[in-house]
Amino acid sequence: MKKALTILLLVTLAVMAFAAPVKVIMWYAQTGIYSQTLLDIIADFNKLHEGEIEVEGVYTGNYQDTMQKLLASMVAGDLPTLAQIEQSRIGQFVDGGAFQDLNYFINKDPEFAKTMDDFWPRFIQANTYDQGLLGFPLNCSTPLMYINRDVFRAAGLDPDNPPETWAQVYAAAKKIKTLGEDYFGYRLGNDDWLLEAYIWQFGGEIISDDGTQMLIYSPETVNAWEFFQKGVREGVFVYGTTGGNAMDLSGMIGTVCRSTGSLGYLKENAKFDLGATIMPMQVRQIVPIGGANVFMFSSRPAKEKEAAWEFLKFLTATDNTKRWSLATGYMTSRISAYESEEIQAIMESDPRFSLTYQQLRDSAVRRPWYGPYPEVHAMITSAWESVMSDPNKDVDGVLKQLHEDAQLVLDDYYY
Amino acid sequence: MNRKPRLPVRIVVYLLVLLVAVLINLPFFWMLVTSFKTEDEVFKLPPSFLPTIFDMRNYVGAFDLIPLGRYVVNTLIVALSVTGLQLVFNSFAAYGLARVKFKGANIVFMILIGTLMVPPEVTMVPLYVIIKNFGMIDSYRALIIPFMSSAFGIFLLRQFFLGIPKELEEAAIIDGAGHMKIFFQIILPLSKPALYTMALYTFLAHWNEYMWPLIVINSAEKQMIQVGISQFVSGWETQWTLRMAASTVAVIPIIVFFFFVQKQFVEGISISGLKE
Amino acid sequence: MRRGIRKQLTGWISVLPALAVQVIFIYVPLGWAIFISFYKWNMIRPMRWVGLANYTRLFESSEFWNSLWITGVYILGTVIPSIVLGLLLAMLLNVEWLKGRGLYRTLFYIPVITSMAAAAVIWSWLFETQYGLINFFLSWFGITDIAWLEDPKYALTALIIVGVWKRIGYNMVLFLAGLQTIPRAYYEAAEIDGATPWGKFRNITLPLLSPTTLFVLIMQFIASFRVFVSVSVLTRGGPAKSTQVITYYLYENAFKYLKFGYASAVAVVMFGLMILFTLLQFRFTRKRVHYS
Repeated sequence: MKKALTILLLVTLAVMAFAAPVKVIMWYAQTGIYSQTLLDIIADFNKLHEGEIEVEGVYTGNYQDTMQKLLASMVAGDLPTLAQIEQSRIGQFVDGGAFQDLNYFINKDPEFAKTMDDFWPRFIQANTYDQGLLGFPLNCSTPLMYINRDVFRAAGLDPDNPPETWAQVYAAAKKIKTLGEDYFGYRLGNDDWLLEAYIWQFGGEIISDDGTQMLIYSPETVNAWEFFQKGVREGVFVYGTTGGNAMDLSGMIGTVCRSTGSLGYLKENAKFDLGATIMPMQVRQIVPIGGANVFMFSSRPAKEKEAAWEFLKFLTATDNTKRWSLATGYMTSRISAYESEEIQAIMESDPRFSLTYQQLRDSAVRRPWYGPYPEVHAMITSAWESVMSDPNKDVDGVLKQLHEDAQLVLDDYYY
Repeated sequence: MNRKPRLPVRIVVYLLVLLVAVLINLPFFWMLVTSFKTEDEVFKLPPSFLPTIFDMRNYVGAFDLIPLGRYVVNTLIVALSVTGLQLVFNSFAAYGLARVKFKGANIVFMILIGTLMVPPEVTMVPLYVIIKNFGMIDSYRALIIPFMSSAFGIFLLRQFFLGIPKELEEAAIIDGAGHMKIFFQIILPLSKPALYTMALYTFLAHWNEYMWPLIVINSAEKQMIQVGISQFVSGWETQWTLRMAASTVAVIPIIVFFFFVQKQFVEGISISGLKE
Repeated sequence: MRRGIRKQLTGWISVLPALAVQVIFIYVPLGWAIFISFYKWNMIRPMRWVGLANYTRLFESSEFWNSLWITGVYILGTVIPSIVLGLLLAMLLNVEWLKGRGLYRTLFYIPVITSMAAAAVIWSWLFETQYGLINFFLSWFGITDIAWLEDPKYALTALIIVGVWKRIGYNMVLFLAGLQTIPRAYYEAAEIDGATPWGKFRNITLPLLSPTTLFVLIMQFIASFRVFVSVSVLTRGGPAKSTQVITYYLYENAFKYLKFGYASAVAVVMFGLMILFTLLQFRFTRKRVHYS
């Protein structure tokens, strides 16, 4: 009798252990409508997998706070299953083998593998590293050029023929300047991804493909920086960082480059005829993909990772990526979602929304991601700030020094 | 300074105090005003000192999005626990350091003061590991236990205890009082201003703490107010109106709380026995 | 003899709980950081012993020296104004015929109550070049378009203004508490002797307030040395590293560049410097601080 009871108890325990849902923790770094949409998708997933898998979304501050939390929990062996991490901060996790190669699951899942072609190819490229496919796209965007069409008309420019090259932006800016001392043709700031875009568009490079050599000191980059500095010096461009929003809405700025994600905000608050176009080129058409992707940590138990994989599939499924995009204004991860009626209806009602997809198809690339890049990037920003806040500073000298200093950082990292 | 000076002097003093009060609160006033503006009114030149229409939209969103009440309660639990514990631990230690001439008191004092020089940025990771090994991740213990005493509080109280005249204590010793009696019946009542000041600052520091709760608390329902409020501004755009509304929401509960405590605080000061 | 042992025991028992907490939760982590400072470690890959390399690199780094210099300027710019102004306000609010002291006290506390994170956000808006309130007021005096947070010439000044603003009230409260403990009989006696207000301030207030002043000085020095939140919200060390104070430098190395060994070395040096300067302050004030 006693024995039977014991066995019964053991069996019950075993069943309970078996039946307990697998817990998946996802750390995310967004707030407001973004976090709400994500939590809604998580809730739907949990309903669908009741008793098997339970995903818990944990808000972990902004991108930088999330890094801090990730590193502390990494040291303590306490990582979540999934995390949303901003693109320029992942390098050392990648190099350290912290991320799970998702191809492992895709190869075991022929049904899903068939749908891989449906992802925007450049998103998959952007998440592919030597270690495999490490992330799935979540909140991605590209920069657009926004235009004050009223200012264009007032300056005798054709707002339907927006500038396509930086030389044309400069020419337009000269005309806009004739409207008055407070008018500027282009507002530049110190946004990290735009600094990368400028260099690339003028034909320059930042770091070699293997991440070991600085390439920033080149006639192309010097040319690019001198171009913008000259614009600021002559007063046809304006350099403004903290007051960016204020300037952009003031109605005295001809053009500005900002994320596609800003379209909704600008539409709502601009008191002028707002136009948009793809970001200008100089010698090549190229824009960075900004935002964050979702990564899975390889050190988690296999069962948990399998469950997380189920969730990743759900999160990036056509319906959910469509829902995410509709709610937040970020790009869809999948082509089929883009082609859906709802998204197409938006594109038709406002063609400005389709520009980012045009860039995504034609010219969007991954931002530099290498392990030492955050430090290199801080040095680039600092150098940029010094030549833009002092328009008479020698660009060539600053870039040369930057190149040498940054190379030391790379050497030290790979040493 | 208890004799009233002549009228012109008094007027100057009042004006001075008023001017300082205005200057010091300008940022706060501006935050309040901006939080009621619409986004385009923010960018008007010259700036409008009162919003043309009071736009409550910036606030309505806040209460839908986050369980503010719960965050307030959570944070009160933690901040009050820390404050209470520190009152006990710090005043004990300060008494020992200031009034008991034991060997090593100076060294202990230096060791305690030294903790103020340790940059928290670098101890955060090992502290997390310790907390994890104690099994305190995602619990209030992680927010309370490491902060049961503080060098700031001990230092503050020690300075005050040192200032209390010896004669009072000596008289008590002659009456046969022990340390316990001296501590509770002489030192503590005389140190109310310092005790209130310490309690206030401890409470404020823990009310305003953002990074540590973010690191050690995972469950949304256990989170502290500063982290909670940070979720309410959508990250993509720097919308000044929303950010100002969020800042206002973070400050208002503490001001309300302060008004409540402030009376005690002032009373505590005025009944301080040393004035006679 | 037995009395002596008892005294020792009482002393140690009273400090032990507080001491234990500080040792476990601050000194143990600090010891760990000192250990890490001899390694190259990014918290992801295994640690690698590098001996003193982090320290030699640190002393050769112009960025490190730059950040020390900026921290020094920030300390000089904040410590004296926030203490002097804090004391002045405390004296003002200690005037007995002044009506509405409770209200003023509360008004002066508001910057203290506000979290620095929230306050810094407000200030970033006040400092805005075109739409900020500060430049609007300055324009009345014919000063226009100071790019407070975008121009390396002004950014540190902006941070100093914020730092002083935040701490005046804080120091005022401490001074107020200190002023309460000065027996009024002393002033009455001095008045009978015909002392001037300045004489009373010099001969009674200052000496009897000296334990508080020492405390305020040291706490203010430490707070200025450790300034972080305002920098990270307002300028992130920029523009062009012009506000990269030592704690921000340390933070970026630890959690942005993931050079935790190097950051630990910075922390150790910073710890040493703070101890040194604090001891100097104790030494220099020893003769001037009056304990009754």
